[in-house]
Amino acid sequence: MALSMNQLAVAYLVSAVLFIFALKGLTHPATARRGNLFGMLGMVIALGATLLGTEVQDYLLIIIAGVIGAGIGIAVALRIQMTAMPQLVAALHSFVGMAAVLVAIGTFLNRAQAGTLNAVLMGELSAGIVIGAITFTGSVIAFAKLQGIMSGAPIKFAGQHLLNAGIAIVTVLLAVHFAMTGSVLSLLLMTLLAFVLGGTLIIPIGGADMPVIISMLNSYSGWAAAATGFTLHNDLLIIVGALVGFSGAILSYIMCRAMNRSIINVVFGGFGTDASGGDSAGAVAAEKGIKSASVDDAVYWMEDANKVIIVPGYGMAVAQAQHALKELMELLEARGVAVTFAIHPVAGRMPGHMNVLLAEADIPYDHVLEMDEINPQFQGAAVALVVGANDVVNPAAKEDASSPIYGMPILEAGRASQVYFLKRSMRPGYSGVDNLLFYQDNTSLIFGDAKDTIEGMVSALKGGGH
Amino acid sequence: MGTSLAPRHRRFSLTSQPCLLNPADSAAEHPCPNPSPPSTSSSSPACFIGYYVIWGVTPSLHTPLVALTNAISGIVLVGALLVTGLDEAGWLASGMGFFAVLLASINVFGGFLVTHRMLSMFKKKK
Repeated sequence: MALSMNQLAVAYLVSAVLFIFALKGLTHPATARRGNLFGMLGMVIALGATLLGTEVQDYLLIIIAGVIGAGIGIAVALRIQMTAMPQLVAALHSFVGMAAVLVAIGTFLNRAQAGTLNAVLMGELSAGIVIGAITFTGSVIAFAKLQGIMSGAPIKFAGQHLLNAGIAIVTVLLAVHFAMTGSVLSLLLMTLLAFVLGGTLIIPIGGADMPVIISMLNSYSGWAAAATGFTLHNDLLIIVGALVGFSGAILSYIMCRAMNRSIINVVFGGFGTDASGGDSAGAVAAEKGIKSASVDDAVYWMEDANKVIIVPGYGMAVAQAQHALKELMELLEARGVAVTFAIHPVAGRMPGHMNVLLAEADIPYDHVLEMDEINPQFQGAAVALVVGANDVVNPAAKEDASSPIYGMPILEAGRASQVYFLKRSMRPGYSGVDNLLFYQDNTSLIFGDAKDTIEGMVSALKGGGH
Repeated sequence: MGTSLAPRHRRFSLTSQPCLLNPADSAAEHPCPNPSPPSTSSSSPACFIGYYVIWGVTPSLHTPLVALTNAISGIVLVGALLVTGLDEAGWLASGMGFFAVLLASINVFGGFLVTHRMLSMFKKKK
């Protein structure tokens, strides 16, 4: 049975509506899983309708490729560690980009064979190829940075922006030439340059800006799908691609706002360092007049506290300290201490990264609060425990107009009676900015691996020897 | 590329004509009089609704949002099916379609499953 054009259009419409319901489900954790099921259903309907439509006649290759792809996708999704989520997402974005490029070139070949090429179509093909190619290499670079294959530091050189602008202009000219003449050479050169551009656009962006980059590439992958929709005159791809495109764009905007920076500043700014290797932490700290404390000091203050607020950052993810934190939370709660987690919007390497890690450790989501909710509560808290976060609690963002992070909204951890900072070394945060909070009278640093330190606190509380 | 990312630039980007496809309408009665060739006009209200829906997503679910939208952008698989499934497709086009189907399938299956895994971890206090 083959679906008529009308039936196909209805199926596509239902599928698009289901995708919107899927996103609507993410308004609250309680409805989110149902939302994801709506998304799956939408995808099943869209794919089923396409397969049953008149345009798909040959199934053999589709079945083979689909089974292999599904197998890889399922295996990866089941095994991936939650801390590796940013890398996985970057890799998946690159696949969408590459698929869009392949579909566009495949369409060109099919239409060339059928003799139905025209300038408009070739213009649309070019858009699909260029957006797809930029998404692909951009995501590959983001993946390499997140995976540690490449340094997270921004790679900058003189004339970089000029070079990018040059590549972009030549790419567009080649696209125009291709659309006008159908020259295969222009097509190939354009594709090649777009791949290069994807890389050169992302290399100057530093590790700490990854939440923005992930959101941006998310957006690109949506527009790549939408551009494919234009070439195939497929409404579903256009609607759904644009939906994803908007989602990523909005998320990028939210991330930029959380850093008080414009998207232009993030994309062209090349901000941050890739500080690595520890200096002899204790000595440097003492020199600067920074107090360091032991695990027992912190436990002493926490065990009888009214309220402890934990501020996790990327360092928590690196140390895999979330499970130890969950144990610490339970022990403190058993003693009547209220424990809350405070999340900055750009903590971690992708939007919402910390929330997922805490959820993985079975920390209930109603214990995890966003910046605006938690900030008024620091004032009355006995202890703020900062685990692997740095810039997001730096008062320089509020007080030092000359600081590069000035104007960024921060978690006001410094207002708690006692601030304990878990740090591996004295190196600054990714912005490369010294943290003024270290010098505050109520702040002490506890040096060491975050996971070991928290486990030390856990065993001290279990021992109860105070 | 990055300069056009602010939502206000994009909000109107696909509004070409007033659209007839309103997802609030009953899906059973055909809302667009002429679906073939499908028109780009249908994207505007869907995007408009989508725009507001996305603003409503809670920040704690931003990672699942990225994973889910990524799975949804696997919709490019539809395009890959159309390229690969064409009877007259040459070997080169079929080959490209084959890899496009493969990559997009990884996205669709991997994306929805990993989103499901993540969302299953979000629990309230017992």
